[in-house]
Amino acid sequence: MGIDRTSPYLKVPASARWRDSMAGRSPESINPHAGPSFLLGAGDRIASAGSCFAQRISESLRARGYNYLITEQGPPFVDEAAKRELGYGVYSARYGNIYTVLQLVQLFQRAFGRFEPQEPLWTNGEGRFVDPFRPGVQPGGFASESECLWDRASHLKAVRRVFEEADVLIFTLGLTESWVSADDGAVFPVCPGAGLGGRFDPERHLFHNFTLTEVVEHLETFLALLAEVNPSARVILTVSPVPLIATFEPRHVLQSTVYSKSVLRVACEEIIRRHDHVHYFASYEIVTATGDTRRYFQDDRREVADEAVAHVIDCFGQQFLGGDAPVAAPAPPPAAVAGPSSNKPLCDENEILKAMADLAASSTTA
Amino acid sequence: MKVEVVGRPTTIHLVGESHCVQFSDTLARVPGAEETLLCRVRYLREVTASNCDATFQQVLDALKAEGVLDPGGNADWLVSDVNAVYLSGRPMLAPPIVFFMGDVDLQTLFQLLRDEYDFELPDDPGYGVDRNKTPMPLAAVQQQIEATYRPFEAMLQALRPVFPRLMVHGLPPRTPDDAKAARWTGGVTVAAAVRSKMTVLANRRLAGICAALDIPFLDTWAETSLDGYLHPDFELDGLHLNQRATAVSLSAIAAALYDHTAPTHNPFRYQLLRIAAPPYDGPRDEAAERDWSARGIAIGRLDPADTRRWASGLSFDAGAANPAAHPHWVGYPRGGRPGVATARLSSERLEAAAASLGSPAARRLFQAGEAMDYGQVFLRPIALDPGQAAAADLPTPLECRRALVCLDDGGAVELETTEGAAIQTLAAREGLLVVYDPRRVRCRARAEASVARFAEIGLAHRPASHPFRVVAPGLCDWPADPFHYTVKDAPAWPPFAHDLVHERSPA
Repeated sequence: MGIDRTSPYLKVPASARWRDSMAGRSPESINPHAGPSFLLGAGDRIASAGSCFAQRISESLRARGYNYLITEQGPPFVDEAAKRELGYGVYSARYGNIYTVLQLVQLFQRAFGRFEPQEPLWTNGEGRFVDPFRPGVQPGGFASESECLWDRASHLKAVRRVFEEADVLIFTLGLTESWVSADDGAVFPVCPGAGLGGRFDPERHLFHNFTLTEVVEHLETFLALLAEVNPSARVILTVSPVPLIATFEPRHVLQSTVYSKSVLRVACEEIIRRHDHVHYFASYEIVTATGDTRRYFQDDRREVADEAVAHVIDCFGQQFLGGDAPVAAPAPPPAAVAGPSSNKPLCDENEILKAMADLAASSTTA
Repeated sequence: MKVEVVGRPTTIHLVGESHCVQFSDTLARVPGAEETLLCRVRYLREVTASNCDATFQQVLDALKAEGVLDPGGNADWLVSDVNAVYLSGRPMLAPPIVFFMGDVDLQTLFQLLRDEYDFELPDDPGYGVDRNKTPMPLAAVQQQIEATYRPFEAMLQALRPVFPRLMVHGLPPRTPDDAKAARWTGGVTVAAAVRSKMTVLANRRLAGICAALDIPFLDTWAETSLDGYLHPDFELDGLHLNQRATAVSLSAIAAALYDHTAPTHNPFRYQLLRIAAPPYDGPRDEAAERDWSARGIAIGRLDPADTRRWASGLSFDAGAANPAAHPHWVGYPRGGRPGVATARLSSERLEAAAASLGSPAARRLFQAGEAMDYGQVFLRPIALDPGQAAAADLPTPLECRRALVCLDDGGAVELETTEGAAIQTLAAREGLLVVYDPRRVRCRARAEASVARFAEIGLAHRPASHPFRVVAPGLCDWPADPFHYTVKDAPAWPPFAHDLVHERSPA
């Protein structure tokens, strides 16, 4: 019995049919988007934030000569490689990685004076000072408390400009698991005492795994806040394909990863259905579902392979940049300046892994 | 027309950025000394601290043009014709070279900074911070300065082994007049506080480089500043210091010449000294010969009564300065040798010391394993408080050796290899004599329950024309050039015939 000519199946585009868009295709030929929803213009000021995977997108935009908005440039005499080490130009401002949506909301609130967390500055092993809300931006820590606070004030001023001036904000959602202050609900990007400074206090530092409802609510809150200061800004949401480094739920890390990514992915869906100016880019799908995971992840099954990143960037170009053509003289990408050894995103979680390895090594040798 | 010869000045080579130009052909007299300094200037307009890896050849060319390097690129002071050196009437010593580097790079950084940035300076002497400006993390500023000066550091590292009298001049304080300063930053105004703080950090970095390489850092900041900024009395044009400041700098240079003599001896002249020495034909001690061959040590005992003749009742002066410090001598700085008391020796005591140390008992040990005559004995009595220890810590020229004599019972002599492995600890007994090869052995004198007195000895060969002689140069150890040195402040027995030893060395 054949399909009836009236069947809606016959009217869906090829990209909607698995057989035409997925079956038998090489991973790199798959673009899990139906077509461009809008194109970034050469003059559009594009800002970005999010988990470490978001750095790949910002690098690509800068490399292609797009007007990537950077409001916190760093000392002018510092070269690109050193700036990157110091967290300048990695994102639009020097906020480091933003893993959860509530962290983004609170960054906005702090920048506009609507929230002042009670968490004091952290100190690291060398007695230097660390900003708990961007602990990885100053390797080795700040020299003094006053320097750290001065830098924070200047940073938040730069953050205000990001939200006020961006035409497009790309936000990569990374995690649902987080560490929250019992004092006032301030969200930390990393657990205190996990290698980037501070001391963990179980009375004050609480684990929390955000629910779908909470993530959607946080996204709504952020969009409302952004609209207050920048009504015309568009937003692109993506979900990082990088699995959790560890889970604090009493279960296997793979289960927690799938939960977390599922919540984030569904939250994005909820939001783009509600807001026309918010778009979704399928980074997560490109990396996890188009190829075999042995090619698109490194041997640790966590770090995304360069091949997969190239695929993501290529799709991003087709989806938002109108193909590959650069629209302006390309700026050298930070990675190109820094050389191959710096060609990895600056991930707080990697610092935690390193700290754990160092601790294990010192325990073994002690 | 009849001229008057006024002397032979010591040439100081000032090389680098425009700050050195003020010194051109300046003559200066060292206060309280006969020394006159003549400034030779090489302004290298294209060489900066950050590019002197790429422009190193220009530095070498400048040194060649000054005769510091010979046409083949060798350090002239090490390869000069010895007859020419003798005729010149000068010691064969490394030329003093003062580098002026790092300010052009700093002005470039100022230009990039504009007036938008500021940073917190640790131990800020009072410049303050303008928190309305964009902050620069201190670590970023320090990293940049470190990276900027790395090529200069590498250049100093390359030059230091052959030019032990290198010096680096510090960067000058900044004018508080921003408009004047802007002339040197392409019209870009940078606040005086920021310029000054960057300069303080840069000077700290330069001083650190110098300390690591044992190079004097000429710091004239205190003398040329007022409240942290360039003193108006020394200001010329918003950047450079005026002629008055050259006197301040030359005082610092002269001080370095007198205080930083430890690395200055000429190794090849000491090799020639051995060639010039007569063979030793005195008695030998078989046990000492074996010990020397095995361990680099010879141990014996002088007649205590002989030792007492020159060492009993000495008057020791703790913390004594070193008035004999002189560029001709490898010695401690004018400030002295902290923690070690020393005594002066009268002519009578020196005569007795010459008899004691020239006795067969001493000579047998001095000469262990050596065919040529160790006929120059540089002698210094020291006293250590209970629990205190001291080791001769100035470099020993090639072919020379050291010894220690115990002047009392009590205390100890600790011997270890230069790698730190213990060899032997000897209970100090009056007249105990330990001769050692400082290239193989470290020797430490230690006082135990009571004050202990020792004599530190340096042994050098004597030219055949010289008698066996004991010299007491105070807190100096050796002549830097053993064929040419002043002995004005170095009493000896037999006494020197003149204030200056000036010998023709073998070719």
